[in-house]
Amino acid sequence: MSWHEPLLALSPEILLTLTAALLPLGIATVNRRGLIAGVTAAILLVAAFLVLGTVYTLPGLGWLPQGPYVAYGALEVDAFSAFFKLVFIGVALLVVLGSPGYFRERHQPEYYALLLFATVGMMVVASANDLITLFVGFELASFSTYALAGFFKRAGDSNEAALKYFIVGSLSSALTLFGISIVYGITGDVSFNGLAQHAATIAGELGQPGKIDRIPVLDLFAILFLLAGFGFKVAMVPFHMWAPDTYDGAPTTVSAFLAAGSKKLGFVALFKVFLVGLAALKVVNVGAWYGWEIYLTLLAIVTMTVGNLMALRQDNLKRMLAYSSVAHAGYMLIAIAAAVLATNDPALRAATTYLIAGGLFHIVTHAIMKSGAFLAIAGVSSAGIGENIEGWRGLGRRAPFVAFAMAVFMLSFAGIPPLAGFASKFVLFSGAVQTYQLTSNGWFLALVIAGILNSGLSLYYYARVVRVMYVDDAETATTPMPRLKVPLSTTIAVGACLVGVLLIGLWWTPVIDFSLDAAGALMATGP
Amino acid sequence: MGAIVVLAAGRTAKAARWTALLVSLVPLALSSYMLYAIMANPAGGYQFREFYSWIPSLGINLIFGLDGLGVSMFWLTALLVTVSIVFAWDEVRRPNLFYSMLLLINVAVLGVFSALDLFVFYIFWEFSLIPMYFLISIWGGPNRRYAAIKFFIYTFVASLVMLVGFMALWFASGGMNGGTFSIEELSSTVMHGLPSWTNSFQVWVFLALFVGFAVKFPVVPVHTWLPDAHVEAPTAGSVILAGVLLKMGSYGLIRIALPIVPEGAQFFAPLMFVIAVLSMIYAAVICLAQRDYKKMVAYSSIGSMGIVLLGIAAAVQTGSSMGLVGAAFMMFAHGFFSPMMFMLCGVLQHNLGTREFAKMGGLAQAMPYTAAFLVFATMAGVGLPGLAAFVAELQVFVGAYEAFGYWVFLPALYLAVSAAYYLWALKRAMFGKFTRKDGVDYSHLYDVHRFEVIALAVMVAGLVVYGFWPKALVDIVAPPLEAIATVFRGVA
Repeated sequence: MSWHEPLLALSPEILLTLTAALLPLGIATVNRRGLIAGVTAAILLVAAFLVLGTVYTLPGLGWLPQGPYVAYGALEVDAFSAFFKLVFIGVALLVVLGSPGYFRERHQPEYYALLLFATVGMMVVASANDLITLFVGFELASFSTYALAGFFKRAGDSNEAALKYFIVGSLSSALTLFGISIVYGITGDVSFNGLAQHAATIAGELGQPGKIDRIPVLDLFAILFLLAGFGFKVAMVPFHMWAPDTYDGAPTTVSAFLAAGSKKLGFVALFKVFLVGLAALKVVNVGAWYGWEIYLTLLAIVTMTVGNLMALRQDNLKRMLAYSSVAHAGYMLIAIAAAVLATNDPALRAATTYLIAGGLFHIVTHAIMKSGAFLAIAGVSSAGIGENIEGWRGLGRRAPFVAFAMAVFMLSFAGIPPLAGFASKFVLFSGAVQTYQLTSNGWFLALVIAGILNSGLSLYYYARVVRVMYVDDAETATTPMPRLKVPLSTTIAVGACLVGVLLIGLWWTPVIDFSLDAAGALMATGP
Repeated sequence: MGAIVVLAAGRTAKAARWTALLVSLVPLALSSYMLYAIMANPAGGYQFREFYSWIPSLGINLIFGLDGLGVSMFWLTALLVTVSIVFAWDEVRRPNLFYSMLLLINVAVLGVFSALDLFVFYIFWEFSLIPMYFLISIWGGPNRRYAAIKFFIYTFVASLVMLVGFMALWFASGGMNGGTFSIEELSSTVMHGLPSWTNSFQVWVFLALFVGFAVKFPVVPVHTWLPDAHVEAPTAGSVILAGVLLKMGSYGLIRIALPIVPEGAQFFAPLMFVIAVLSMIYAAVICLAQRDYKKMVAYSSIGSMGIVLLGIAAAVQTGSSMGLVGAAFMMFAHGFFSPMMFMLCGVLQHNLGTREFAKMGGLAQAMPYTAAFLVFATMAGVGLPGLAAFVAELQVFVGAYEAFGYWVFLPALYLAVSAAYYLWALKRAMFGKFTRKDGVDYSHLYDVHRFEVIALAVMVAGLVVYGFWPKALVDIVAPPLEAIATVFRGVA
């Protein structure tokens, strides 16, 4: 291995880090919003191509080492990590595109630099090959977003958002770290492969005469702490309380970044730790109530139900989206819970891959929809309407394009075909159905039924937004309503999300194929 | 085929009603040609096939094609959308959006009736909800918001259950390793005598599919969205809802559930019979008690759909295609007389501002043309020989007698009661002495507009033509239905 190979493999991260470091220094004097955003967006685009180049052979990028490839023993470059890196970069790109029109504070370069640092942190988590690297990336992303959430320095609720997010986030970091320390204490290893071997050994001895008959309590504690730590990030019930306040108070573009990007960070961690590192610890035969995968299943169901029920009652659109985000975390947890249930069974390998791919697919579509919805709110609220749903009355006339995009996002959230949200929900739920067919395990059926009922429930509040924008002004149709001036840059970003939702909905072959590749790569690193 | 879909979708934003009419005429013309071609060659299986690979890694393809059963519904859809555009010629509230919603429904429903891939079928099926939701919630009556969202959520959840059934079929046929959503392939594994699926699997899948279809039908006890949706919907919406959207349920049952999971269908045949009879009796009783003309017509749809389900249950029980042909004929005939009645309810609404029987009476003197049309529609609904519905009812009941013996008297009772409520409604509304009632604004009394006459006349023509010449329809639907019924002869 030559010295420059790992550097090349990590070139996207390096590029972004350098840009982030140079932005405040170099362009600090050029206080032109559009220029800074443009440069950042261009660099992100380059980074995206570099990431793609590590997985697929692209013209002109042949010099990149092709994954799977481990750099310095700590950062793994494969289809799975590339998949998430692309999601993170994509979200950052959309947020950067949407920002100039909305975000007019001072300290422009710092804003974009923080966004880039957060993105790099997320990319490190996606690549991490051991728990320590994962934690470092986690913290980098977290600290950048704490600062971002409070970027409206003189607004009380922005400060509240940042503080709440920071305190809860610190606690979750502490929990994660404690979990990691327990794991290290037990196994003497922090790499995922080492963990997997340890877990496999325990699982192999379970139930054998003279050996242990259940998971050691200490292991369960480690699992619990890690789950809680990551659970905060993904806003899983009961660790979701911070999300509505933070999403509501933070600058809306930052909310988009948090909901669409940062939340997925927790999922990467969950995927890596639970599906690769600890998956073998699930117990099927011995003492049903010791099997923690059942609790994951319950958490998934509770999370989607609580999220949807709370969202029903929200009048503030950002809070509504926050709760819907909680609910969607529940849907994505289906993939993890069900994959844990099914994993390590060679007969179910294909089914598990499909299921994980469903989760990944949903993560992508959710990222696009959520960015789009939050950016639409950002655009409309910077035109002076506010974030309360009442203010959106008749938006169908006042800002036709943004209203249409918002309607599409809402229907896509609910899973109406032929939009992207339907496609990914389809793969996700069908994965659960398939696994139920193969195993006749009632928990899968419960997941499917809960998913269906929740989709019905969520349709109510999603349709409400559509109704307010298009239907409720029928009485006042005669009074002329002024057109809204939605900032151009935000409109472009929303338009990009709209195109994404429609395009993926109509032709999802490339995305699902990439998801399957990524899921396969994840399974390959497992035991 | 694909061209129609794209064409109708692409032009929807145009403002004028003429554009809408012209656009809607294109699929009508094409589907008429297809109807003609299939009439010329009824036994040719699926014709006008289109095949595009869509999502190869999941085995999802865009497959379209029409056989006799499909084309009858296909043509009916194209016709009814055109007719409802004509009928709603004077829509003034956001006309461009209104017509574009009608055209979108056209696209969705045409897609449903021509899709030969379960996944594509589902996408069109669900997509039809969105324009219908807007039609009800923007142009509907006073309680429209509740009705629209109830319609939306009710059918959405049911469809998801159906989708789970589709998923199960896909995985059972191989899933990621060569599984298929193709209706033809899934049907043929059974038709060729290779029942690879266990009985209990078929029963569960049929149940899942039946939930989805039954809500759309709708049959008791999952019908409650229908009266709300109908009463609040604008007339054109009701026409489409009764004329074609309801048929999606029965069409799906015949096209998908019966041939793909026949053992499941057989397991549930007695239950289907019971549900059908319950729907009919329930509808009849409720109709007698209605005070609102439109609500009565809405409930009578449940009864008519009960007849369709009865025919299907009968065919499953005996393996004779008689009941299925009757059911298909009923779907077709109901697609004429029910929209016609809804149009007339719309006319009454426009004239009087109310549809309550108590506010009517003797209107035949004031609105002779409306009265004439209403008498005709009532006769069709009652099942007067010589009109289309009679043929359908006759076939269904003969088929049901073969299957269930003297139990058939229970549903036959419905026919008598239905005649009673139709005629009683007619009498209360139209005949007797014309007196001006309090609280009714007679200043808009105009009888019928010319464009309304055109729309109604088309319906009359359809009922008469297919009443006197049922062979035109029976000949094209019989071959595919015969093939479906054969399956049940083997295992029965």
